[in-house]
Amino acid sequence: MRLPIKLISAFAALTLSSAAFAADSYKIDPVHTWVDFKVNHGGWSAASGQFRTVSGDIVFDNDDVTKSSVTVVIDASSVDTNNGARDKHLASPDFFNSAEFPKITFESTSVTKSGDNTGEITGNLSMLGVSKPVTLSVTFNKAEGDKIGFSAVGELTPGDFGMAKVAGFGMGPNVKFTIELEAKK
Amino acid sequence: MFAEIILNTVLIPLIFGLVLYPVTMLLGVENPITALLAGLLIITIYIMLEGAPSFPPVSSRHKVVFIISGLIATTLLFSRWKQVGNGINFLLLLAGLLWLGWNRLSDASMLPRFLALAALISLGTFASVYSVRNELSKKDGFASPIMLLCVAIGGSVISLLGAYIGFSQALGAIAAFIGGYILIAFILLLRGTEKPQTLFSEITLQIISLSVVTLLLVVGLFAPDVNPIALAVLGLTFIMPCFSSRLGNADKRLRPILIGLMAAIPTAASIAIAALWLEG
Repeated sequence: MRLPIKLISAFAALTLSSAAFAADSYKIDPVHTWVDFKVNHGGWSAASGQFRTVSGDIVFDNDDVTKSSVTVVIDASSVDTNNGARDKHLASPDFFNSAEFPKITFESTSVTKSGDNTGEITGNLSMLGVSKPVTLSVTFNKAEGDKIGFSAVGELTPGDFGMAKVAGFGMGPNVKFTIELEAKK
Repeated sequence: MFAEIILNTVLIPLIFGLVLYPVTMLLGVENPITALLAGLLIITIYIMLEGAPSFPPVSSRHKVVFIISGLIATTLLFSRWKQVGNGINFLLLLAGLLWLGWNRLSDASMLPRFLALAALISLGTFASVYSVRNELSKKDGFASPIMLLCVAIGGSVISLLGAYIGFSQALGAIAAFIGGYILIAFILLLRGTEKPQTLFSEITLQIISLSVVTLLLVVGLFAPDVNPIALAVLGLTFIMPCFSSRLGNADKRLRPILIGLMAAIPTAASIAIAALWLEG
């Protein structure tokens, strides 16, 4: 009776440890993460800005990336467009309404691989109390030691989230965004 | 884009006011239909600027329409039992304040804003009623509409200074709406074709007044940089018509201007406080 139990225990240990290696958990490094956005400013230029406070978790499966997942949380009041007055207006209910909806979150629902180091992450973006699916095109840059790095681009229509003033003030209507992200175990 | 903003913020609301005046005179100032019409026009102006609300409402911008609709309904339903109606409206506005700002209640730094808004609700609910009942004669019929005009203008500027342009537009549009109404009445008064009379019934005044207060609640709760003292001082504008009797026997054509100047004192003070606070 002892041998089978030992065998089962050994098999279980092997299975669990290989699972742990296959999908590792990471914390987004806020110091080395940038969420930037660009929006057409009435045809004059592409107005740009970024969010200063970003956090989140990544579960990355190097063997089967489709089993990976990501959660990103952005502090809506941390919007920075290099102009204090404009940032305050962006924090108002006309735009990000950060007092009422302090967090913008993205939770992945599926990950697909499109190339050796590229893929698409689809997930729900929750902003202003509205949740909509958004797809990000992602490039896996590097994994070394306890650290990984990704770049992602995406596009969304703020009006879909109830942010009608973007178009109302002659901007957009779409916003392009990029995420440069490093995460540590 | 700029033309569209001017159209929606100024021209259309102004036209609404210009149209409401002859309709009110035709149906009679005390006719509740004119009060309902005034309320519906305010909601129309709001939706024109902020979009239609979702149901159930998601954000404060959506909740505003439901609060104003509730206030219109109770004001009309209790028009024969005004004291009961006033009490219900007061409680409705307090409930509205909690509904709008529930996620800010735990924030201790918001206490001054909540207190200022509670003061604004008290002044807006009762002082407007008081001012109508205590106008000594119909010769000061301009007093209450001018008071509302000043509150709306003051609220619009405070909202703008507080970095909330959307509600600055909405309050500015309501100012244009009231302004259109007053403008045509004043022109007729100057031409001598209109005898001085009450311009708003008590329920019309209440509906417009409570709608303006509701918009100010959102400004007070969510504008990034609003000054609570400025909001409380703005509320003092609501009691200015009470002092119209101090004008003595001033000329009937001059009285609206004098009342306007009087009502503008707390409004200007509130704007100055908001501007100075911003500078500091």
